[in-house]
Amino acid sequence: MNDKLIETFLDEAHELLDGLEEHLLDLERNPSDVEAMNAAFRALHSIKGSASMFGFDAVGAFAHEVEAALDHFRGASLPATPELSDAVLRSRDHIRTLLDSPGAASAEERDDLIATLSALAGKAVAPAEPKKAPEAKRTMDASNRDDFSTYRIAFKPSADAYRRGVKPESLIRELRDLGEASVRCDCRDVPPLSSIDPESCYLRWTALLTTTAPESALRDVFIFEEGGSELSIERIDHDDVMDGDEVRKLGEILAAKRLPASAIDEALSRQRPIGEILVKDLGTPRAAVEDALFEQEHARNIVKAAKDDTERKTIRIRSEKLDGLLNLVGELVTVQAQLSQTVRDSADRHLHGISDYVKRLAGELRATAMELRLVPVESLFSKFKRLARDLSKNLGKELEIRFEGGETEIDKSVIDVLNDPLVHLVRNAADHGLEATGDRAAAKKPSCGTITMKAQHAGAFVRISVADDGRGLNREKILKKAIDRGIVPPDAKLADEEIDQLIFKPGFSTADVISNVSGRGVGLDVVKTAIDQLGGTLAVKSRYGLGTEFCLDIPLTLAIIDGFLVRSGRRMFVIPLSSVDSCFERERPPEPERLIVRGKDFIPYVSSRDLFGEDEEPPLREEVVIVSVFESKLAIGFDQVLGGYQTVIKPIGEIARYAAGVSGAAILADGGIALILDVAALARAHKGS
Amino acid sequence: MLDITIKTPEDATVANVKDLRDELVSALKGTGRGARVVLDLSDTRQADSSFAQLIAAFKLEATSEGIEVSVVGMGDATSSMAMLACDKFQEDCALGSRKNPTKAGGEA
Repeated sequence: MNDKLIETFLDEAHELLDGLEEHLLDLERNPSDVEAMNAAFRALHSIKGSASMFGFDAVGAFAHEVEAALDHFRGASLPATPELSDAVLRSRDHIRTLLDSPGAASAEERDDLIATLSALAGKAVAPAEPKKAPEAKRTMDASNRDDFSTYRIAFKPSADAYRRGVKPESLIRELRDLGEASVRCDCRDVPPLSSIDPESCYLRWTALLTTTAPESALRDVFIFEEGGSELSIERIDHDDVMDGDEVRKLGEILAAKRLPASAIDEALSRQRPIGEILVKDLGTPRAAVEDALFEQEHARNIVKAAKDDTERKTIRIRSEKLDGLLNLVGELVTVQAQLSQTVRDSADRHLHGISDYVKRLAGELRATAMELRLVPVESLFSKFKRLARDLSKNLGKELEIRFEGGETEIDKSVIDVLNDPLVHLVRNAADHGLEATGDRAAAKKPSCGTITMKAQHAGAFVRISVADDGRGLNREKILKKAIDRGIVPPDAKLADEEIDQLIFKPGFSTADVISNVSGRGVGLDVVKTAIDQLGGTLAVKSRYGLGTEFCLDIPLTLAIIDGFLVRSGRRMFVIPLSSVDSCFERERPPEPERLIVRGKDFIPYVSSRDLFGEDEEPPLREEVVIVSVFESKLAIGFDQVLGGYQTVIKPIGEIARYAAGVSGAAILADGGIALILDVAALARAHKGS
Repeated sequence: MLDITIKTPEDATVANVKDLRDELVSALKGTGRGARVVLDLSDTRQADSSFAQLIAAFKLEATSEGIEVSVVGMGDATSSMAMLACDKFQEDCALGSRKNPTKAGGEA
């Protein structure tokens, strides 16, 4: 089979597994959540169907067993027990292993899961044999109409169906799974309360089903209920209710039902709803009109489903292709800057016009390419529900995870790199941050600890925070540990913030017990390194007894930014434009300053010459740029502000770790290099001044 | 007129539909023509078609005795899709809309 098709299948299967995990976690929280149960079932059903289609028979067969157990609960409208959710979650993990590394999937685990699920469903299930899974639901449209048939199914269960343990609605649900269905329930035979036998069934159902399944599959649904029940299955001609993609008018449908044309014409001429006239004035049986209306509505549903299906269509592209596109756009942006500079001195107005047009197109192309890579942080957050659930179980702590700002979008490459650092932080919060349930009660806190993950934008940065309402940092303990390990001298006098920073030192841990969750002395330094490499910053705020919050300020993109080009001596720098608050010119102060006053604000000040050294005499005047990132502001003095500049960020790798205040480099239009300032780090470093 | 509210149980399935019928019969006996009975389904977490047909029977009986019935508190578990796997009702049945004997009977 085509490798690309397999890749697409695997991508989709992983998405379905992620969705399945989320629905199961919802079910754990609310075992009666019918929507979550149905959604979990649909995800499993889709995995089963497509796995078999793509030759992943082991996955298809195993998913079939899991689906059967889940359907047992769903069909009987039973709430999902914690044991069921747990077993299906483990099964989900097993399917993932079967997909990613089939060799690592254990047959014992598979059999154990099947046995557990069978026991939960209260029925024996034979060991898994690869089976052909039924075809997934398809939608009918004009191009594939010949593959579909529409049936009218009338079903009246036997009166003793309930006593025999039959759930007629489960059979109808099974029927619905075969295609696009419209179902009407008729309770006209139900007697009044005083004469009803509540354990007898008085209901009947009529269904219109458009499906690729053969009539025999429809009959199979009712195979155990055919004895005392009434069942009729009749095929309907599509042309009776549809004309191409258009749903026929009621009169046309009735005409196809051999109703006298004269009666229909008469009704049409009276300017009232045709159905009403036919029934009230012309003696047409109400049932005939209702049946026609039902068929018309079903046809509308089919057309709508096909339309929705078309509208949902998207193209799946490998992220590497987007990376390639972005690289090309980056090169184009650089060439466009060179073109603009070359044309600047030309007197040719026509050339100026072309250059401006290229600049505008390059800007639009860049914006579109960037947008293609933006992904809501929600896709990252959703994975943490499972982690929190597993941590709660492993640590024996009640714990709830909350999310805010999931709609915040960030470059996919950044999202990919953020996963591991955030896992560290959440593990850390659950293990070290949150107290044991008993300790929380003693501290008069709710027994359930809370971890909150939040995302918010600030210019070219996104802040992602992980906060817990646990015990907070024990600074006394941190300092003692740091002194014991020789990280700080015994007589060190450190401010609270400096003590907090010690937890990011390699190998630092205050955990008394090494657990399998965290506390091995690795973690926070790894997190810090990863965030540094992203050009971001990691900060911690903590209040003893109340909780701890870790804040990650990450650049929105690692590729292209709108910058502000400035000069210091012969060196050029780019400041991310979104961080620039304001700028002004002034005489260069004779003495070094630490603060400047702007209105009522005192803003820390630093000269670029102090930051990056001097390579020529300073001019008499300087231009001061005020940058702000989240709550921090900093004024930086430069020799000259050259204005806006769109630039491609070129990573400078390990050098960035040793070049404080620099996050990358950019190639200028004349081929020179400009360093991109890490304003967040600079602002933080000078905050205290 | 006397208004009463009946809260249906968490499990409203065939397993205890008999008890529920007895409760509804008693409730109707305690009211009279012109009364209003509210059937509150908000506590019900599991329901099936036997419960749906019991509601239909209850509405029929109440209507014939001149008692007004309102069904409130319907949730996921008591939707027509959950109880009966259907999208709609036959119009002139007790659960349908046209001849629905209730004022605010909803889709049940």
